[in-house]
Amino acid sequence: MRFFWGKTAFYLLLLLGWFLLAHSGWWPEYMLPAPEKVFQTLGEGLCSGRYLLAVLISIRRLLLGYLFSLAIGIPLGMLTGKCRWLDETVGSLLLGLQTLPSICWLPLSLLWFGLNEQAILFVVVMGAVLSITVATNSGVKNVAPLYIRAGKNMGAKGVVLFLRIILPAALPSIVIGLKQGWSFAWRSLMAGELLFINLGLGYLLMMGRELNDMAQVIAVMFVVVMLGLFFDRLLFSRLEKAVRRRWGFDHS
Amino acid sequence: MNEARALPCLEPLPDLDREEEPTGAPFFLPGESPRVHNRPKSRPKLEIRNVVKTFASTKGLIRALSNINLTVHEGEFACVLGPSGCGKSTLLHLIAGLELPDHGEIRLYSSRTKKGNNAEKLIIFQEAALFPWLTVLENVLFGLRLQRLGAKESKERAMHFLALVKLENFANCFIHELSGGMKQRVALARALVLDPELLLMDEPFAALDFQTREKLQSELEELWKRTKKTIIFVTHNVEEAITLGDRVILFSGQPGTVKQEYTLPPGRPRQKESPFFAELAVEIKRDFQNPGRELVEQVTG
Repeated sequence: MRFFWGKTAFYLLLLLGWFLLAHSGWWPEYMLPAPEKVFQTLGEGLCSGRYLLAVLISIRRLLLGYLFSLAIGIPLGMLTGKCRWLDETVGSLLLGLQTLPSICWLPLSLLWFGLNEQAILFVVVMGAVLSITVATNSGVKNVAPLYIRAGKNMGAKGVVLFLRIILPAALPSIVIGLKQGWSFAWRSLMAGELLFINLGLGYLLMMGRELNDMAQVIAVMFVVVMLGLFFDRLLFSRLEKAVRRRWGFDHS
Repeated sequence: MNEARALPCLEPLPDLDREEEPTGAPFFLPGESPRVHNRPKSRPKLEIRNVVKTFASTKGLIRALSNINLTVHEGEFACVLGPSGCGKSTLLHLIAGLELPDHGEIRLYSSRTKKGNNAEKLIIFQEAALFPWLTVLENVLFGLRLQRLGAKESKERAMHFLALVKLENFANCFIHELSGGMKQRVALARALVLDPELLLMDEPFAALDFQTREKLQSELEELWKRTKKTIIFVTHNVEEAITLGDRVILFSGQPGTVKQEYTLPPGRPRQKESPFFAELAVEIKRDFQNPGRELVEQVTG
């Protein structure tokens, strides 16, 4: 709240600069549209339901892909975290694949699945699943041995030890992976929708380009930013904060 | 409520083997008439026979414990004293069953017949080892939940033991909200609530400030009297050992061996200011620092 006025002033100045620049006539309109034009396009798009439809389609893909990623990534991370030889084999492969930008899976995905939803879902999953797996893996591996000793000492072993001690102890790290996985899924989805045009927000962006409608391009980018912020603030930041508070990381 | 389920108070157990010599070297000061502190003898609770433990490290094999023989009696407060790295913690881990000895035998004489209780030998770690994702109460409930006790009964028991360590008002706090001393009290409650046969304390007060340590020492003494638990208390602090222990077992390090035992007079609380304890502390400190008693005597005599 301390920087509220400073922030407001900053964005107003930015908007003013944009406004002046756009009306100076240095650039043609298809390169730099005026802010009021962008807001007008945004308003029309939202009202006509075109943007809403695109948002819904994109979010549906995102959620579906993310759920798949969770269902694969968390168990995989736990297994590789607990089992030495799995970590040395599968774990090393996953670490290697993590360096591959997920959009590189698109050609493979298109050949495997064809031009359909599964192809784009696959890319989203490949974007998110690796960071979720790797974070879960390192979380499980880095549980303080003291907690495990204390738990064993009180009679916990096997699955109980895992569920009652290792998993909760690893949760702060897992949550970071969940957050990262989400943002990777989001990025992969946008990249996928741009290249492989089939509705969604990426499609709207490409439409803007093809029609030389820069106002639409910027308006859709604005929507993408807003959605990203919305999920980050509403879901992941809160989750992370709650976990950090409970685990006592924010006190010291 | 506390008194209703009165824990048995300190009273002599039936003597089983009166004619046997008391264990541990009887301690007497030079110039004082030899004095064996006759205390009610009780049956052994824990027997450690010829225990050897070796660890692999980057510098090769390190012998942590070499041929340890030790008997701890029912209801005894045994203090294991020694420099850091002398294998005291290793010994506790071995007793607790967290590690296995290379050689030798550790036998616990359980007073219970029922099986299925895994929490017979509980360790209180130096860093308390409480689980930060659980509240104070949930931490104390942890072991009880593993034993599948009824929810209501578990909670009552847990609250009873939290009250015993004077933390009933902190039941719903998170661990990071507690001070170091409070954490150790929660750890104590978490262990006692499971009614262990043996309480193993691994330098539990070493990280606390002086006042807190003294306070917790007297609280622990009080709890020990009330619960009659057998305690093995590891420390590197001579004063702490002679304040708390019925018997002080001095370890020497690398490899860890039992160097000397001192049996202390039974009167409690200890008059730490008395000349007797002051001299005892000096004596133990000398043994602590010197390679061996015999050697010292040779040099000075």
